[in-house]
Amino acid sequence: MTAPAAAPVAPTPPAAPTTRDTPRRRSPGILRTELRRGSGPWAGAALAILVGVTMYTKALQWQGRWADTTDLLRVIGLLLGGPLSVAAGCWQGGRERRRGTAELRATLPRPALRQVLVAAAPAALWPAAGYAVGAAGCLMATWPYASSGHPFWTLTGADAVAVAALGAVGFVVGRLIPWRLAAPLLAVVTYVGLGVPGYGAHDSGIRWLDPALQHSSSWERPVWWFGPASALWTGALAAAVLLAYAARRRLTLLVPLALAVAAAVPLARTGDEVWRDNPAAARPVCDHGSPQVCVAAVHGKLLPQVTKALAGTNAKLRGVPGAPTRWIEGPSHKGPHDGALTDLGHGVAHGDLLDPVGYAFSSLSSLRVLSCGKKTGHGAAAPSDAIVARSTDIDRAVSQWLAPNPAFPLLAGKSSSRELARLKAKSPAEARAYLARYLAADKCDPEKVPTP
Amino acid sequence: MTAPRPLAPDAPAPRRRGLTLHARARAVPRTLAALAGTALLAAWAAYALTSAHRFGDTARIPVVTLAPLLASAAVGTALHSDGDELDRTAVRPWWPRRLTLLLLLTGLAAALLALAVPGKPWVFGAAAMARNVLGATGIAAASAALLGARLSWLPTVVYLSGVYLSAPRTHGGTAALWAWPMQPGPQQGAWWAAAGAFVCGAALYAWRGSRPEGR
Repeated sequence: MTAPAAAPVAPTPPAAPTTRDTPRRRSPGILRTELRRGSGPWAGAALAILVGVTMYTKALQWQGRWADTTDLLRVIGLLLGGPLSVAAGCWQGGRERRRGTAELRATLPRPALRQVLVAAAPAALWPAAGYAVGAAGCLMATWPYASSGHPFWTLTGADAVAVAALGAVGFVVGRLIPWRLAAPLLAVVTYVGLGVPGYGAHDSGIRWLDPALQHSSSWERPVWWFGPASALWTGALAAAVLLAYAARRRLTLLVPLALAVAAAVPLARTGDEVWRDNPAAARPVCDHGSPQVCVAAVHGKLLPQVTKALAGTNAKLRGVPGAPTRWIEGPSHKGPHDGALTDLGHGVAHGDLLDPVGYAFSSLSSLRVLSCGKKTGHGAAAPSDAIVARSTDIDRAVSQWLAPNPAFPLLAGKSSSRELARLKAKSPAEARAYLARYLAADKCDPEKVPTP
Repeated sequence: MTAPRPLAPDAPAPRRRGLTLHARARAVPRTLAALAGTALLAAWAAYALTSAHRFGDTARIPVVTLAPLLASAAVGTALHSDGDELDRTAVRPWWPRRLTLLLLLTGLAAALLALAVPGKPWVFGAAAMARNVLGATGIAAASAALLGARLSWLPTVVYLSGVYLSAPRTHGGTAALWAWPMQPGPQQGAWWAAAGAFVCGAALYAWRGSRPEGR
């Protein structure tokens, strides 16, 4: 008899789960469900695309300069994104009515304000997130080409707060007004409301309460408190609207209202001064050539290209009496022997000077102003048209000789072409002698401009 | 046996009463009020922008694009029918009624808004306004048939704002076909495009009616 084989040890069956043992599986929070479903993600995506595409079509106006990038983001994000956000919020606000769940919601034991905050969250947060994504993309696109400075984060943050505030206000309007036309009407009203102060010619400080006001200047920067105050102004107003709609104690809305007023007063009183001069941006960055070429620090990376563009012109001007000894771009102080370079603001794409020939040509227009001074010939009889035309023709010929620009060809047979031909025929020494006479002549008196 | 009771002398004729009820069921009074409000707003905005003297011939572009947007939204949302399933059981065809409603509202909107931009009609004036109302309403009618009346304003807003931002500064040419809302007036391509949009939208709406709306 053999010993019975040891019975295989059966694995102990797992104990039946008891309610006490199982880890409590939490249902996904209401807020997360609200954020993931419905129109919110679509509104956010639409806003990101809207900001991205519009900024892309206007890249020449901003890419490479932080102040312009921030400012244009502000205008586009609010003027176009604001109406979208408010309309999406209005749509979200009408959801309970459309689905007939308003009464069911009213029976829930949660406080009304909490319910409203959860339901309004996608209307406020998704558009703001969409704007933030679009803005981040644009700032990343500026980064490789920016020469100096840094992004103005607080302003971009204030824009996101304003977009969120508009979404929240739209939500409350959508809850209150059962009208199919409410959303598009609200969008148009928002567009007009945000856009009108920008059209106004008056310089009232109150218009700075409009978060979409444009103030494009590469040489300026916002005061440190501009962004936070703007965010507080729009955010607190939206909070007041939400509290007025849903708070059990309506008087609590006085707190955000007081905060909004506290932010609005310095904004309105400071007015245009919320953007101040930025000496770091305007500081000239110079090369070692002769005449020296200086660009503003915000365009510092373009200095080699500008030097190259002006090389031919500078070779002809070098050492000529009366010629500028320094070319200077931007708002820096210009001395009597400084020539003003054309602003590099709009002719640059992806860090490249788009039209170097045209740039050198347009910068020569400052030569005439150079020696004009204040002798504008007041009181003297106005020169005849023929004399003015002759002087203009000579100016054109000299400009084309110094910086040949095929985009502005001189008409064959006209006197300017003849002047240019004569200039080209001169030996270098003769041409320099003529240039000295040309620059020394009183440019305010067209009669005294010497013929080549 | 009693004689049939004559109608009271001040009672509206049954046909007129039917029309009134039909108009009220389609929210026509409210739509008319919205159109009148839009026209007044457009007139004020056009006056303010023109008298600013800073914008030259392009001063009225925002008015000529935004006002038709609003008017088409009003017309588009008015195409909603509360008793859609009931309508479809009717013996008489509904398409003439739908088409008449759309034509009347569009005609009225175009006339009112054209009056709001007096002055040179060929520089973003009455002609451009009427054309844009026609085109925008066409898109809204097509959207009502495809998306439902409640959201019929969305494609119009998307298209008009997209064109507003990306239209070339030069006028005419092939751009007039797709950027028709931004043409100053008599460009033929723009008129063909807007009229085409209206004919297609109106035909689609007359044929299908508004799309029934889910929850």
